[in-house]
Amino acid sequence: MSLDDWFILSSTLFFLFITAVYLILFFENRGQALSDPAPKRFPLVSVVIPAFNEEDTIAGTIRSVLALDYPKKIEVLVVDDGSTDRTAVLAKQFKGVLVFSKPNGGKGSALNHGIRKAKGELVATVDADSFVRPDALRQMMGYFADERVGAVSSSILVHEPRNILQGIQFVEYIGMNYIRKNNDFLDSLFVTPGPLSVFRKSALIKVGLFDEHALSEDMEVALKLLTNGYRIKHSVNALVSSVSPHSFWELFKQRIRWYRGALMNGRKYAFLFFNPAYRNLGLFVFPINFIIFGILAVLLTRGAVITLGGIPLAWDKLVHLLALKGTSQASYVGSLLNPIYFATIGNFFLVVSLAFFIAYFSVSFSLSREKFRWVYVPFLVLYLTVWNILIGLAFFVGLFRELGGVSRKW
Amino acid sequence: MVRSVFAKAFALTLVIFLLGVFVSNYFAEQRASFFLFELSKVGSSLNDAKTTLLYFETLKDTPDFCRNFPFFVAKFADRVDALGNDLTRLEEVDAGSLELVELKKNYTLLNAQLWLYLVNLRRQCPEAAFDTVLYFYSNLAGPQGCVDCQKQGAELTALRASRPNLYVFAFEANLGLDFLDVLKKQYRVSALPALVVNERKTLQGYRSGQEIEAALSQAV
Repeated sequence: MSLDDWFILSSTLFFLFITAVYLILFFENRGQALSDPAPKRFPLVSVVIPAFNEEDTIAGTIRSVLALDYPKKIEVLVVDDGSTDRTAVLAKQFKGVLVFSKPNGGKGSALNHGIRKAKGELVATVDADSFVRPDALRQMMGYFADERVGAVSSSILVHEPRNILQGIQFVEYIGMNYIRKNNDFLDSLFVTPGPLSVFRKSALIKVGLFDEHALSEDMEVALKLLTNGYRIKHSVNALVSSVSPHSFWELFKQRIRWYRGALMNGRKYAFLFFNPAYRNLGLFVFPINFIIFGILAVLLTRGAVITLGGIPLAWDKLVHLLALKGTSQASYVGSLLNPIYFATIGNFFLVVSLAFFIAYFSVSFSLSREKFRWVYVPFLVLYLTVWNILIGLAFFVGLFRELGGVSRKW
Repeated sequence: MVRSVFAKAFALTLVIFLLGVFVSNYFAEQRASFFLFELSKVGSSLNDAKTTLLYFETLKDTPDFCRNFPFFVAKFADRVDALGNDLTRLEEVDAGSLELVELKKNYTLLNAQLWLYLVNLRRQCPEAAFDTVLYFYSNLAGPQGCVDCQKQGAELTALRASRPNLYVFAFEANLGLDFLDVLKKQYRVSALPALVVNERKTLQGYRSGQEIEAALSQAV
């Protein structure tokens, strides 16, 4: 076998192993996976909404927060981070909503501004382009009975997907919710997503609030909590829908920011890599995320080389086929289609990987309470193929920008 | 609990890996057996034809023999072509296997026997009007490889489709067969691709269809 064959084989086995870990983990914990613990008390919650030029969605976000079904009063704080549109004006139209305006300083600084003003024992952060379901907050409360819990994350869905890109993101987000629940089982949930997360305010203060320079502040704060001994839980029933990028360029920029942010955090928390003191987080969850990106980046390069090299080969085959006549052509087609030539080790792993992929998404859909519809199949196919090329490419660009020291914007 | 999850996942991955190796080895053997079987069928037919020719050579009492030869030859050529297609597919899916090298040697020797049979036939039946081209190529990369072989192969395929009486015998030049070494020495083959037209003229390097046609008309 060539070096390339070994790389493909080991990458496939690596992905199969990870998928197997998560599938087994889920099935062994499925009792806990589908339900959240019942809350014993309902402390005061402050909802902080950081906003920068969100005039299209801010009203809907505030409306969804005010409609939350929560037994106690909720404090709602909107932090306008130097918007140049009507975000602040629209937010001020809601009674009982505190609106703070500050010069633009980034999402982390807006969140910190709001948290400092918040009176609640718990702080919920909600992105200004996200819409929480009425029972979301209630579903998350039960986890805070455990004093070690510093934060609880929610299940995110794409808000009203309207085009192919949003359709692919829809299935991607559903898969992410499943990964988050499994990382919760491993005590290694290292992202508290922006659309909706609830924090114990004392924990946030203890770890020094959000990093105002981080590009992925939601990942950074989660890592800070975990490395300070706090636990982060995931509620599968706390649903929030978030507006996702609708154009390719917007999406590409978002992913570059995510991956660059992840790389920054990888550098900042490099001590976690294969560190047994941090158990599953250090030995498994944190490293595999970076290894996966590395493999995807190499696979992207390899895929491009094979595709470019394969085009003339495929063309030659076609020319050869068309040049043949009569029985020669029939025998050539016969050998091309003979099933015995498809039973290779590569195709075996392709079929197994596909089976794992189907299992992964079946569980993900059931966990997100989303009924599977056949219309999702093309999105799943695109997610499995084209999507990974985009991800690999965005990772490459993020990596080069980070290594090249290009200025960071969020 | 978590440790057991990792252990189970590892065991599952290992089982899948071993199953993959087993299944692919099984089918690789099936492919080789299938190819050998096809090879032996053509080999038997060739032996049959050679025996008939020997009979004709020896007793000369079958006047219809030379009249019927095109039918026999065309039948063989198609079957050897089909074997060549299967060999190409084998090379694509089982590249690098030792068994494949042996299969290629067997195929090459069968091809060589068919060529020799045709040469012999032409001697016995002077009215037989057909051409032969021996095509030396290589699939290897690096200095022993051949940059233009794929192009040359495509050119020969097109030529063969337009000339029903042309028989092309393709030989992988680096198989380490004594017979091929003798042939290369005899026809002074030193560069690839190389073509030997009607056992008379050697062309080295890539040649267009027109150049080959011209060589065929000269080397009658």
